[in-house]
Amino acid sequence: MRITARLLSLACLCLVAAGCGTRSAPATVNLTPEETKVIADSGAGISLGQTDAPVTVIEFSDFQCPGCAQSAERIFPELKRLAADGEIRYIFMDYPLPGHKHAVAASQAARCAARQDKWVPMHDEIFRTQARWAGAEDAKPVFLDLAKEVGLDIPAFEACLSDPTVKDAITRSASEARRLKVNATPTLLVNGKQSALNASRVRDLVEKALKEANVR
Amino acid sequence: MRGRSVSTALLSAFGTGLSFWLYEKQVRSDEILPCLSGGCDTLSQSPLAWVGPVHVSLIGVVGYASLVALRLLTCRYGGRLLRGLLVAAASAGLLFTQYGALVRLGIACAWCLVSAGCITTIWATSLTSLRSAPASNQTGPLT
Repeated sequence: MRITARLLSLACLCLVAAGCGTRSAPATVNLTPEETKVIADSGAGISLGQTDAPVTVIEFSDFQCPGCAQSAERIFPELKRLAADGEIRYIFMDYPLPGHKHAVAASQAARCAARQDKWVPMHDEIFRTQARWAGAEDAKPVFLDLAKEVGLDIPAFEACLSDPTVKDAITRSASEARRLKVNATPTLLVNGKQSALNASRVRDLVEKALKEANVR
Repeated sequence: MRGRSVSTALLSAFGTGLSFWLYEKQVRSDEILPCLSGGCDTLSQSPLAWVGPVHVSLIGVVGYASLVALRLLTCRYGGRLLRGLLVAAASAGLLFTQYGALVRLGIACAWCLVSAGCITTIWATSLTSLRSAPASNQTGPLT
């Protein structure tokens, strides 16, 4: 019994060590203005706002990540407003993580909505309903329902879902994330500088970048 | 015996601290937690991490704190009843950890494994302590 208890204690210590060791932290990503421009102009992501806006915000995101859903709820509305006001150019880069089985399908649905100029409402709806489809065996019926809700042309939407170029674009966006050593979603870059994942910190960083660009 | 008591109390205290840290970090902080690889972050932020209005990390805080209290009471008063209660509480914790982390959620995150290791050790040592305690429900410290 004593040996069993000691073995179990040892096993527990090993597990503690494993827990401390395996929890890797998000990598810090910083880009030069040139790199930021290359990514923004590459067409790999979804772009909102004017191409000549003084500040560029790039977000690497995964539709099935709960943190990205929080970002969509707390941070994205402000970024959307700033993009509409011409103050920032917002680039959404799909980065579906390997453990999220419906993330690619969700990105496809959003990109197919983008072809009908409905990326923003589809993006919002996909994130808002994440809990509904993330655990489903087949998420496609949910995405079709969402497509109807945002007013998409359904036959065109369904045809788009089976278009391999949509998946290719997502793969290209994810490859770019891996090339830049982004290892977490959401990752937010304001003019290439990584922001803390907090609405007020993102706002501060954007304000600072606007001041640096002599806009404010 | 003393070694078992100390290890149970220390592991329970560690579990309380770990659960409290996770609760602070994942529930009370306004910072958004990023997803790394679909493990702990996905689990802790998913609706499945809530039992009604209570986050599983808070259940961990209460559960481990109860184990610390029971262990201290057992050290102070001894007796099979308290030891039995400790085993029962540790068994409940063990089942909750296994069910929550591995069966229901189907995700083995590192912190869940740490907690599972702690509770398994606590359960084994408390069971050993119960089996080696005298049959009579005598009072006074035994360990």
